[in-house]
Amino acid sequence: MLSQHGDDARLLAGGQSLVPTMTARLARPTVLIDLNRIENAALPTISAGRLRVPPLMRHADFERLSANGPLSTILAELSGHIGHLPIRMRGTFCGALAHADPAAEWCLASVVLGAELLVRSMTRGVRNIEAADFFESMMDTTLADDEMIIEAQIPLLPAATRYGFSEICRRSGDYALASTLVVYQRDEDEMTKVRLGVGGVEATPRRIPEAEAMLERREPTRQLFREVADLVASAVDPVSDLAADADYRRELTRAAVSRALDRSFR
Amino acid sequence: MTGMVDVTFEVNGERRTIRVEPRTSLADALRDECRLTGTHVGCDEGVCGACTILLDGAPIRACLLFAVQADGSAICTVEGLSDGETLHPLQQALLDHNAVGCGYCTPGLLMLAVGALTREPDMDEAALTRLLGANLCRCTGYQTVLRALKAGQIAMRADGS
Ligand SMILES: Cc1cc2nc3c(=O)[nH]c(=O)nc-3n(C[C@H](O)[C@H](O)[C@H](O)COP(=O)(O)OP(=O)(O)OC[C@H]3O[C@@H](n4cnc5c(N)ncnc54)[C@H](O)[C@@H]3O)c2cc1C
Ligand code: FES
Ligand code: FES
Repeated sequence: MLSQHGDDARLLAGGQSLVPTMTARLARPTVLIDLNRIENAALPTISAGRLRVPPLMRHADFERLSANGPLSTILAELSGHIGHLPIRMRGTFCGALAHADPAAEWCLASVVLGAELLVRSMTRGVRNIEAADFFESMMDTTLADDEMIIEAQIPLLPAATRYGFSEICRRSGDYALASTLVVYQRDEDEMTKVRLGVGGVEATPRRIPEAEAMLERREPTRQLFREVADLVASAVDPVSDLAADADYRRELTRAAVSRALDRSFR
Repeated sequence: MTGMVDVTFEVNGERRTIRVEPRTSLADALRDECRLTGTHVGCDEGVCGACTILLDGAPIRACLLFAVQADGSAICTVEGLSDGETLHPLQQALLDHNAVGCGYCTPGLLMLAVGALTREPDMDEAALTRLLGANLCRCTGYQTVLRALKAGQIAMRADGS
């Protein structure tokens, strides 16, 4: 149907972003394709070392993932930051990626955790996209009009994983003005395989390679964490909007990075 | 797409078939077609929570769901909470704690709390406070509501509801 109706058709998942934009007449699709009746599309599976998230897996489904391990813990914590309970009961992981709000928790998590998306079009078949290549600009992705995300795959994490997440919002449940997720392995006294990304600051969430390099194979200390927070604050090019101008966002970024790193060290 | 569509669902235990435009929200359908005006519409865009209802037990925003999507579902609105003249424990608790101001937000708050406490009966005060962030109330300042929820939570447990 998507390929038939092209631009006029939209997929409807949780409706927690699409319906408000339609109410505001910012989107006026003539055909809505409701995904909610698809069977067996709500439960995740695990295979080949990856958590596989289907199109109808909702934010609240991440609260208690049956699989234990660090990835489940991280995703459970992040899901609690998305909007409010009624939003989480309906909104979906894949819908949040397609919506591509720069401050969305799932967009940041997919980029930092190295998720891969399986995207399908009726005419061209399936292609795989790295989350880092998926987000093009604010609310814009490489998804074509006739493509659907059929699965997001997130690599599982080893037991020695440490992580820290922090987001700064005006009120709890709001979209973040700045957020940070950091994940690394604790190897003896050192941090290895460090991944650190920020969301809500630039037009798309992204990892900050300079910061990762600075943390890699180093011992975690408060001093180092402060230096990394300063580095990230100067490395980003924050957007300005009504909620926060660029300078303020830069300060919030410093605070979010610093808190996320401190939390990883609890 | 225009034209009218028949939608059948169960509302507060009663099977209903209504005829709506595909674009009608569930909130509007409940108010205009089912004449259940306890479900309020504040913002119509998912922010205020006045329209919160239970869809197959889950607390959701009725303004963000199309009525046609609810076909075949079981819906509970604020009108379905009391048992005749006997109020639901949470309704009674709101009354006892003077936790109602103008009342505009009250049905949504009730459905939010009933849905959440049914899912997770042991929510602590911090969790209840976070929960209340979901719905806007401009009158009470939330403190009385929070106290009422804690009392209602105990009553719900005793009640087994
Ligand atoms: C009050 C409120 C607060 C919120 N707060 C937050 C927050 O703090 N953080 C946050 O991240 N989000 C927040 N949200 C948004 C929420 O998380 C949405 O659920 C999410 O952004 C979109 O998911 P959805 O399933 O509802 O998608 P929909 O609204 O149904 O769709 C969104 C877009 O994605 C497309 N789409 C959906 N599924 C697919 C698919 N499988 N393949 C391709 N395209 C698809 C749709 O066509 C549409 O363009 C909030 C929403 C509200 C109303
Ligand atoms: S009317 Fe539905 S959330 Fe405000
Ligand atoms: S009682 Fe008036 S808005 Fe809540």
